Amino acid sequence: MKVLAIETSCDETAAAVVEDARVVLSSVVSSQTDLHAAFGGVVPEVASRAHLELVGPVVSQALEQAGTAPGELSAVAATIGPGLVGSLLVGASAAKAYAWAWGLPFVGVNHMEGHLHAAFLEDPSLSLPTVVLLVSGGHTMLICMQAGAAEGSIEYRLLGETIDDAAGEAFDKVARFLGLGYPGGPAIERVGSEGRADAVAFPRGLAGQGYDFSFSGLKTSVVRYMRANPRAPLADVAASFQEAVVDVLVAKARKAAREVGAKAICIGGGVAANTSLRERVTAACREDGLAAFIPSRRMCTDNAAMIGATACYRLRTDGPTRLDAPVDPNLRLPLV
Amino acid sequence: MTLLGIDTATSSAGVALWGDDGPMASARVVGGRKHAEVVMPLVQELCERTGTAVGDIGAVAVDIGPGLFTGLRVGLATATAIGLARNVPVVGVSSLDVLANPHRRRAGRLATVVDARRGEVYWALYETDGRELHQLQAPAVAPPEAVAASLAGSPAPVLAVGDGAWRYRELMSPVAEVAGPGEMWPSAEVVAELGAARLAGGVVPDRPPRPLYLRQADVRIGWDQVDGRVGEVRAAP
Ligand SMILES: [Zn+2]
Repeated sequence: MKVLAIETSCDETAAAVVEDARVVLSSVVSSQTDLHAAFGGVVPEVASRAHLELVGPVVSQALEQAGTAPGELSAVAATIGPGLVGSLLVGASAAKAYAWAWGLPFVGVNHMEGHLHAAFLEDPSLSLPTVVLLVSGGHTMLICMQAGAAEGSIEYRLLGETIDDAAGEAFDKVARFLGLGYPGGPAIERVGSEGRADAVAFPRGLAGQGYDFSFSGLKTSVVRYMRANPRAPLADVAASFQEAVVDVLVAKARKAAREVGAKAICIGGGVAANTSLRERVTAACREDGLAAFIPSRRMCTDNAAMIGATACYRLRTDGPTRLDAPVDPNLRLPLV
Repeated sequence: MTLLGIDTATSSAGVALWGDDGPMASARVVGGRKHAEVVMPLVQELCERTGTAVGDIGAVAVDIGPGLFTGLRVGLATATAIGLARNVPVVGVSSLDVLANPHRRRAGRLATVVDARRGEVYWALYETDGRELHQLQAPAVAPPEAVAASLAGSPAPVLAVGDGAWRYRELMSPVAEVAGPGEMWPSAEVVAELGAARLAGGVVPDRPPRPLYLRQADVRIGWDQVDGRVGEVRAAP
């Protein structure tokens, strides 16, 4: 079963062809990062305009790279939330139209569920239950992925999430405050690589208190520290800030894995592209005797292959989505 | 050949089928901003009603605005995808032309005025000789007061058409006759008719039509837009 998937929830216009939820035949991502960099963040109207220009060419390229004719497809999928509503509407409208024009079912996919399925695409040996740390510009969640009652079904249990800023948002805001540019994650990682991670003892939000996260206090501490120490080396501040974020993420994922009896820890979302986080999760899993699922960076950041994989799964469990289905900017993961 | 017309430029969402002998069927949903939820179901319904198969659609015409940005993009994304999927041409027509066309046989002047929100309207001005329309002023965005002021000096009686004219009818009525609410939405049937005429006239679009925004993008950063889901950290190169 081959599925064409479209992802336009934020600022990447992406399309992919995925076979049987496991094989990526093509995955095209057209990033708008440069368009938004001048503004220091994603501008919704700019993103929507770019998606409209790019969605057709990106889909054509995905089909061409996969060597797949429309007649070989079984469904057309698109992200229907969560995300920026104007951006979601472009991808969903295009996908519905492609589906109708080719006489195929349409499948609306939850973007976060897509991130959860991304690891499967690269490592079919992934075994459940797995604790997934989903960290991006909009989300910071700790989820237990476990087998459901029905054969082959998967359940998601939310263990904890951020009570204020998302981890990626903290990176962006701190990078902007430090004048390091946008996007903040790569900027802080780059500058911080020259600094000492133990130079400044920034607070670890909600450390030792359950599985929820808090990053707004950390952001405030960075601001306060820079006001008190205007000559502090930026490299040290960036490295220490990153260390504080990664420390909390890893500690909570590790504790969760232990308590739910998980076989593995998996990371996903844009912040999962951070080198320090990837190394620390890998090391923690080695120490704890767990498998570590660290998807490639391009599978951590937004892409359509993960949407296609999820669509294969959802088509099997729930069937097609109606063409009158709305997009939902605040769509939640189906949790147990 | 059957042509599919799509209009989602305003608060109305409509689709129409146009055949070799003229209009076949049309449908519209007015109100709300649910264009993406209604457009494809309307297309499906029209095709079923008229016994039209997907393969019978030989071209698509779409309203490129000016109008509501989100609505425009739904229509254009839909039309472009159908065009690419079926390998058929997609032609764009302006909402202001679409509003004007039904009144082309009426001698005098015609102002088409679409509500642009934020206290402004999109508008264009035409002259009719009883047969054809001639555009006197290209599509522009302006406060309704400015439109009324420029219509005030018109040498011929003016008919003002569109949801913008209706919304600001108190400003417009001293300087123009204002068409009633029954005529204030662009018609998908007219979109199809104009698209068919353009294709019959030998227009071969070489790339997908683009929206006529007439306004720069609002560049406020969406930190608080949706759940903070902006500015995701990207992979290092
Ligand atoms: Zn994402």
